[in-house]
Amino acid sequence: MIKYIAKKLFYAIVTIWIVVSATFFMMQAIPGDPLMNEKRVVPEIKENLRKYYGLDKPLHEQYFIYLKNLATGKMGMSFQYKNRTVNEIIANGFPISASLGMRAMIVGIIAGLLLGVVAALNHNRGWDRFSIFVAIIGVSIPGFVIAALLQWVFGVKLRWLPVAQWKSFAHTIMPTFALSLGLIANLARFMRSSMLDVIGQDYIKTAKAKGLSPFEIVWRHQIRNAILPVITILGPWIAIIITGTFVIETVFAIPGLGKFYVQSINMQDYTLITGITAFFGSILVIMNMLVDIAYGIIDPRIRISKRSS
Amino acid sequence: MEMKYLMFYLDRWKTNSKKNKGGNVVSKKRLLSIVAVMLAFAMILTACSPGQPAASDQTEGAEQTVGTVQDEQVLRLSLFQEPGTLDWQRSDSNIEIYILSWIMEGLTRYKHGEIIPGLAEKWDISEDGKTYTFHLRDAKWTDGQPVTAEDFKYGWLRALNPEDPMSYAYFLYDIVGAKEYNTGEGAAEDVAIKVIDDKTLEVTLKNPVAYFDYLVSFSTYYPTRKDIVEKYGNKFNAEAQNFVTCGPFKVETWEHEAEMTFVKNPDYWNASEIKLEKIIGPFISDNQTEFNMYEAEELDMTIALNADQKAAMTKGEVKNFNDGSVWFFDFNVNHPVLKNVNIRRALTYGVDRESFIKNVSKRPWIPALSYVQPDIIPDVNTDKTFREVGGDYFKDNDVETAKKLLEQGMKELGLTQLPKLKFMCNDTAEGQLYAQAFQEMWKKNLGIEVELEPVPSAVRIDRQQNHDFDISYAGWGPDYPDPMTDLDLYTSWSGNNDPGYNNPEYDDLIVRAQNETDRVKRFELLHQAEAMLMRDLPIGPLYFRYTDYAEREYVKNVYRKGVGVEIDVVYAYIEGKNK
Repeated sequence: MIKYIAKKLFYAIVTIWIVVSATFFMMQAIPGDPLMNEKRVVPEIKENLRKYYGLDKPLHEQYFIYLKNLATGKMGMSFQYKNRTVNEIIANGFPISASLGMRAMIVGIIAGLLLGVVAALNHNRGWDRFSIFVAIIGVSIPGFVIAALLQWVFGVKLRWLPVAQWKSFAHTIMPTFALSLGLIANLARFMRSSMLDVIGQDYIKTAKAKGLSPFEIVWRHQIRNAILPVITILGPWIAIIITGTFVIETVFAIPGLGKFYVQSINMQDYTLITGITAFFGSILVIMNMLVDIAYGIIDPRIRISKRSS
Repeated sequence: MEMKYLMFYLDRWKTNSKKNKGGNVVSKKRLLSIVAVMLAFAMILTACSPGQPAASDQTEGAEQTVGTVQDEQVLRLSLFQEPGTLDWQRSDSNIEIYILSWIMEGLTRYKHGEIIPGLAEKWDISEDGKTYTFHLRDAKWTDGQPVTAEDFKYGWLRALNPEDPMSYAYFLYDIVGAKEYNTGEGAAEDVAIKVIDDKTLEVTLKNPVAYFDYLVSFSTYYPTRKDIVEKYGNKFNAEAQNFVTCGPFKVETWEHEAEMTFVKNPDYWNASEIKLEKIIGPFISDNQTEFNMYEAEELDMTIALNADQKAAMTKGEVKNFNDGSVWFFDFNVNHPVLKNVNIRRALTYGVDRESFIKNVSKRPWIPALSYVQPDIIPDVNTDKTFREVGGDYFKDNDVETAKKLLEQGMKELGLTQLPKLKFMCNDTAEGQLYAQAFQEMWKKNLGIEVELEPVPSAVRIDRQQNHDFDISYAGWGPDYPDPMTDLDLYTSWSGNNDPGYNNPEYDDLIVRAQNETDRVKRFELLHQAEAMLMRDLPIGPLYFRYTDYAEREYVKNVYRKGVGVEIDVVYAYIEGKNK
């Protein structure tokens, strides 16, 4: 197991290195630079600014400085936020994005799995149709539409909830739901088909023949087996959802990380682009690694095959 | 200065509003019923999710006036987005500049289109108009220290320090020795800022700058405390508790990316004139969210309003203000065809601005038949604007004249057919829509075929700067309320002269105006310069942009204008909210 994890860790580091290097060079290829302004900065001042930010150095030198800083965890000052380091920006935004993300995960996993299980157990009946319906809605309607609608109905018309911002529990309800809907839909669909697959297996018949109670059959045999493939898709989902989403956070004015994925590129904020990418890349890689490990723990077949190989 | 941000945020706002508009239109009817079911379901689920609120609740304060008829003096407005910096010498965007004007003050203050004394009680100007002596009043920083002439000198030299470059340093270039110091050719000691005593500051300028009393109201010119800068270093003005200011309001809280609040500064020298007790400024960058918050009575005004929102609005009133920008075609005057003035005139005269505004942009803009903005730039006698005195230079949609000029121009060039011109525009939905409208008009009115070149705005700016275009869709916003802010753009040495216009006569007019101490003569020269520009048309004016916004009827005296401080709430107050 330790060897397995060490190998995964090595690949993870290589992956992150490739991602940040590719980002570093690609962003330099975007026309313009972080100091560009519609109203031109006086050339002499611009020269001084370039020097100040180290942009006058040759690209490879900038790259090595960047890698060195990154290795020590320093991601530099943001260009756009002139008094804040990228570390501070991430430290400020990530807990909020993560809090929203975790809420959405909890709602999404519970509702999604429940819906999937109920649908499979009521195959081709009312609950099944309802769950398919929810899945289609959740997958096909973009988050900002849901977000805007929620805001309009519950914020403006009914005045039950505050329209936006991230302050009290009431403020979190709409964004949590808007963010979890996609997850609910995906999980419900996935869980449903996975369950249907399991229901048809011989060992279910055996269990029935053994005279196990229906609850035990569902709980110990069907769900436990059906949930495995679902865990695979959870890794990337968690990474995406806890690091913040542009649309939901923008619509609900939530001070998370989400908006920086778009804004940093628009503003060509080099340090913020690379910092955010490195951070997101690491979370994604770590999540995938955790899923791999969790998979090994949950599924005895994988454990065994690992041991024998 | 403002231009990038102004355009950036208006463009973003438009993109955002488009996105949301799309969302609402598609979804409202169809999905409402579906969503209702979903929501019932979700309410139960989300109620189960654990967790603590991320921050304490404090917005509702404004709503609760306990049993009094007195209006609580609290104003709630969106600040759009987290300011890049509130270090006033370093600031270079609109939003930063207006927030700073609430918490700081310069030697003068630009109040509702007029210069009034600020931290300087009075000032003397020498005969030649080049030496200003400012006499400071007794004013205090929020930590109780007096504001001194030394604080100004320190702040100004800080703005010019080449070791710690500030993009707006050029705002001080009119001062003798300033540019030299900033570009590393001179020393700090040679900059002509002299502290006579604690309360007297003397500045010597290179030219008699007619608008210098405005410049000293601007954030780059704010006084700065050396001890505070040294204490906080890079965190100067970066957190609520780090601010030491001397303006009408104080920063109370700053939750990054979320919200700022301000309270009245009781020690401000003119505190009796300030009525608001508190300003609550959440950062709401999505224009539809801002509108929804306004409709839900969570905000008292909006930054902007689009046509759909205008129609849907149920509260308060629609107002509009000149956002300061003028929009035009940039003609590359070195292009083999566009070098001909008659062709440029034909292209300018032959489009229908009135119809464009009414049918395409659908915003409260006005056709530009001249260059310098209306409303915001006064003439020599300040009761009239430069625009009112200058008037229009050509007619809108003058197809007849345009056709004749086109024919004449082609004859001069020896052409029987125009080669296909390229028209560069932003690649946003709106950028392309607007450009297409003019493309269509040229084709219909003049039979001129033009090819669109939609590019990302960064590419457009880059190519404009390198004169790498035929025609480009461009705009400009003023730095200060004087026609020079627009007119010196087209001097041959200007870094913003995208068309490449090079006319020694024009250059001469501008230089003469810059050195003229007689105001009447100076304005004559400036009008002559504008007339020359409108004769040669290196740019083809299109429209002056105005922005709609919503404001509740109980909000009084908020002043908006597209030059300097865009949202001035310093003298605002609330009246009649608790009727």
